[in-house]
Amino acid sequence: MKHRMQLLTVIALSAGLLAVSGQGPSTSPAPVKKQQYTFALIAKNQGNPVFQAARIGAENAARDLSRKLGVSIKMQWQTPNEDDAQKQVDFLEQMVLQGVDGVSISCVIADTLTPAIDRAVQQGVAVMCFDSDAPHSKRFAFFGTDDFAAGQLIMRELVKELGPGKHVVGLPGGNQNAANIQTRIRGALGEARKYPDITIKGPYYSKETPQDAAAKVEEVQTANPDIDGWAMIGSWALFTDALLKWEPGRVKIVAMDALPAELPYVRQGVVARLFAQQTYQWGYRSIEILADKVILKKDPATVMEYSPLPLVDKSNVDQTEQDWKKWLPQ
Amino acid sequence: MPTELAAEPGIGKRQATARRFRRGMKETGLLGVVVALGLLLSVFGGSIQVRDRGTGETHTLNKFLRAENLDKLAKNTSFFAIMAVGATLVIITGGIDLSVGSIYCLAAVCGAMFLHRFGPQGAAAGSPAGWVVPAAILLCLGVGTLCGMLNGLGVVLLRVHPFVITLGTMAIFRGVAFVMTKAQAFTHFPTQFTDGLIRYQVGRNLYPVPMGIMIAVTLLAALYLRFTVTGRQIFAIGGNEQAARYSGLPVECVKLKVYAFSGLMAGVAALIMLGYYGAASSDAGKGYELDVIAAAVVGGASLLGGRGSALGALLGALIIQMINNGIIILEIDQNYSQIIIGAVIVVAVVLDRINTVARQRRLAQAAQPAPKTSERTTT
Amino acid sequence: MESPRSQISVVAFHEIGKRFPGVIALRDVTFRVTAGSCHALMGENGAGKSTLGKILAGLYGPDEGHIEIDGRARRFHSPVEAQQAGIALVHQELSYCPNLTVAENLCLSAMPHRGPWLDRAALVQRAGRFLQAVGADCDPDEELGRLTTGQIQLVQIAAALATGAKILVLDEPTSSLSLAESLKLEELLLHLRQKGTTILYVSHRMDEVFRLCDTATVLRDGQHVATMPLAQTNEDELVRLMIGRSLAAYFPAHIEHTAKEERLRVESLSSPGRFSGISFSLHAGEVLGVAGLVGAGRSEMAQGIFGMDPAMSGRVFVDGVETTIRNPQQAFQHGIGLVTEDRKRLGIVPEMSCAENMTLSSLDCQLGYGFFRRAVTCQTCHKREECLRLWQFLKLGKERNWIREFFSRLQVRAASQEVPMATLSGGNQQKVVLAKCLVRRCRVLMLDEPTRGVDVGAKAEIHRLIDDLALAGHAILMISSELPEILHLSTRVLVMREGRVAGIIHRRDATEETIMQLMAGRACAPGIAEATCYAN
Repeated sequence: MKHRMQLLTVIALSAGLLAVSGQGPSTSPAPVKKQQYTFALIAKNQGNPVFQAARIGAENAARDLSRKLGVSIKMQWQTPNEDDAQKQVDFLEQMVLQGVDGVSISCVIADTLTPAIDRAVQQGVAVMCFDSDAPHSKRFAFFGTDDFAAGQLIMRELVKELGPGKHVVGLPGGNQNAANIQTRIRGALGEARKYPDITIKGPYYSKETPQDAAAKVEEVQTANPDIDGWAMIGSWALFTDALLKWEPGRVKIVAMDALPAELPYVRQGVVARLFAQQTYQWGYRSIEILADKVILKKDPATVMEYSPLPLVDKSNVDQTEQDWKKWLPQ
Repeated sequence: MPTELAAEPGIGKRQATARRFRRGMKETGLLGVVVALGLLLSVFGGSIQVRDRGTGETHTLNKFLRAENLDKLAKNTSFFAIMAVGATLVIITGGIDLSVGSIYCLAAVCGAMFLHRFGPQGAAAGSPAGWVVPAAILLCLGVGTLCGMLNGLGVVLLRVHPFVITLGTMAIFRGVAFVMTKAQAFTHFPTQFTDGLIRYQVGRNLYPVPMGIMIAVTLLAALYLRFTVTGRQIFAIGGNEQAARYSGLPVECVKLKVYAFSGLMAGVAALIMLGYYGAASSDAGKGYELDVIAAAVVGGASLLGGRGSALGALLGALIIQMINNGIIILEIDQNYSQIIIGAVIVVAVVLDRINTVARQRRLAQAAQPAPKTSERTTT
Repeated sequence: MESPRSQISVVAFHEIGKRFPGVIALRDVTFRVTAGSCHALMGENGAGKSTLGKILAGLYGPDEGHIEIDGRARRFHSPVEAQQAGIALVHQELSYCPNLTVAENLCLSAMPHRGPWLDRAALVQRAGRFLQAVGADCDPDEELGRLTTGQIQLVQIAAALATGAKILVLDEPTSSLSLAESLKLEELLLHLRQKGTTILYVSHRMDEVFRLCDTATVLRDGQHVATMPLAQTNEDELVRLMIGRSLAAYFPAHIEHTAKEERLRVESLSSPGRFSGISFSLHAGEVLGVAGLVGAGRSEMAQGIFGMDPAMSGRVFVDGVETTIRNPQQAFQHGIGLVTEDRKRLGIVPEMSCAENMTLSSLDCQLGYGFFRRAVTCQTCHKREECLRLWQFLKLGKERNWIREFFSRLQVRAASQEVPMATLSGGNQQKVVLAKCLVRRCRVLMLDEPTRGVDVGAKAEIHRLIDDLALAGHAILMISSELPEILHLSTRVLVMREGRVAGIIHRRDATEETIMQLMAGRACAPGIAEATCYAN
């Protein structure tokens, strides 16, 4: 009886797998010119909306470039649910075994991923990084934010908003182990040292999910009512409505990222300025760079490509919203 | 005098062998699932063209069956299988250990900090003495066992349900790891430990050490459960703890042992992680406890206690990893992976439940005496 | 206010039969209960009294026969239906929610409410009314779990009355009550009878029955023996009706054992709330039968000696040496074994095989140094070759041999050694549990209800076993609720009542009547000081 039950499971499983599986890659004869390419995107976690935007950017790029170059480009998304460097290494190894042509990865821990990236490159796979770099690895390119400059920028803009006089500034942080977060914090702290009237409280680390970050910010603000400015080098807290109820102008906020969920904050004046990370571009540009390297055999102009951080404030918040509607068709 | 199933105990030998085979049947079912899944994946996974860098030839290799993929599969399974073996012993006694992921993390972090110190970039850099690697191994295993013993003491002394205790220690151990590492990741270990031991390479990109450790651990645990006193006591306590107590079994002692063992297994898995990935941080192993318990349950351990097997734990972990592997090979959208794995776990548990109920019904029918007999009961 | 329908039967049982798996609890029971009477239902443990009460209250449905209420045949599919027909049952094992207050427990089935909100004021008021009706003086807002057993009992009765019951079934109501509380209950019952409530009083306590009731029905082995007005009978006759069976039928001829050296002696064993002042001694070759009503504290005493009661005080001497036994492991090490009364819950591991169950207590015995432990010396193996254990490993071959030996000696009937314990019949299971202590070579055996749930044939075998064991020199303490068993097997009989020793009688002075008197009555055996005899 048990045997029969097991057999039934297997049949059910195979039916399920068949139903959901896509087409397996075709075995091509002796390669003349490859018609099909697969690029993989490995982000840090599934919970942060910035990476979901990157995913869509990558999918769109794959579609656009397929049309433009006359080949079939497939984008495979493999991201751990939570920040887990070990799982990223596993995914990278499996992508390589799958025979992907290129990988773009945002590293949870640079040092853990460096040997895996090197091994992948050794086996002929093109690897680049986005958002969070592995600088000592053999990756051929990086596309992302200049984190140090970004940290400085945020702090500088916040000080401008706060104006003269003594101020206390809160500094939230995300995943402590992520290199990009650490770099931004270093930039912000470095900038803050130039202003003797500014006291910094933090950095306060939390999980890079909206709920955890928002809870952390609220907690710190309640415990430290003298904080009158937040230098959000990562604005996960603003992906929720939690802080919308703050009285606009009482506490000045300048933040990184301008995802659609954050735009109401600007409209209501709770947040003064947003500096938009090009999260959509992370995905789009990654595929472009990989396509250049693998299909067109063209190396990128510079290894480190920094994306600009355009300002979003009350004056152009509506335009930004329109842009998002174009990029993320609902 | 009315007689029930009249048979001399001598006949028992044939029945005994039959029963032992039937017991093995449980794992035979799992083995069948593994084989079936393997067939499925090799048939539907397709093949891949691989260019041999050395000779320049291209080979066509089956995506699933290629040696490197199987090797990776075994390596990925090893973490969960080893911890699942530890968890199975705990589950057999009717308890549960939710803190395995955190013990894994803490053991890894302790080992990492130690190895980093003696690694190429550490404070005591330079060619490390011969005692460093064994010391690191002992440290990792020791931390794991100690954490496990703390869990055991909590369960035994505080008389709180293991779910609650290990829920608390889950947070405590990870918190300790976080404080110790000051949120940094530790890497750059002595190569004697990584490439020389755990990541020892055989042939082309094959790393058999994690798989070897997994098989050895499973074998030892299976023998322990079957042939030792404590193994028998573990099953008795899980089957009916009160009866075990009244039979004079040292219930508290045994529980302490199983929790310590579960911690030890987490330490072993942490060792493999350190050796293979060469880095550890306080993020390690987040959420692993649920994967481990899922593997144990799919492998036939009953959360009510009294049933389970080490081999089953390994096969359960293997099945779950094969599904993960299959999702990638078949290029199924990763968003569905959680749904699929969750469904598999539920199906496995439901089937197991159906089987248990059917077995109990068979037992009850066999226990019915002849209808003319009237027994006395107190009502 | 006497009920005008005093001659009409309000409840009639017609050929009620009830079967449980493997047991026939009731067979062809027919009698009538007059309206407004207090009708006693009597019989020994296992006679079927409680089952009948539960059938009336709708908890079980009869397999055969039917019940008539007020002349109409009724079939209750649930207790709620019985409640609606005016029948309420107060269980022997009090069933209530200890974390809710008195008032909440009382109105559990019909909480007064205003819309979705609980009406606390109405709740307390309603509860107060019912509590007053039964004369309970407890606070309706008190948590029920904090009250004394007697108060809980009264609240249970109040709850039963709160459903508007005209027929009240009380199942051993005074089994958990003290003297004062029992008197209070009796007042209440008289009061209820005056108001016209019919009471079905399940009990085997003679004095209460004669004081409170006017009619009695005697059940024996699930069958109706007699129904008569109490005015026409006396205690002795009822006892004879309850017990009467041909004792000689299947008991072995008793071999007179001469008691030899003292194996176990206890002095002033007390455990608050369970038993107090227990002293006796147990000799090799003797069977000490322990008799008493449910709740007399017999099982608790045995478990206390076995080390399962941390609150127990007193002195225990094994072979003349004072010992402290803190857990069953130590008890076994001193050669004391206990066969519990609830083998399903406390005695067997159902999924493991018979063989494994049988050797369960003998796993840890060994000579020499254990893994991380000091040497464990036990009475069991005097030679290392006899041990079942080699360091950590089990000698499976030796185990098999031992089990074979015991299987045949105890005549355990099972398909093989390897079948799960749960497949065995009650009798065979009991033999395996007994064998567990024998494999461990315990010299003092405490048997708690050794033939409970065992069929007649196996019962005789177990009796013969006990006899043989005594002859072989074991010291046996046998707790039993079956007087014939006690009378036939015991060398001496220790009777417990309300947690104390009411008397220790030698075999030659023991008869059913004397034991019953000690168990249920107020008498004390000669030689026992009255001060220790009475509970309060």
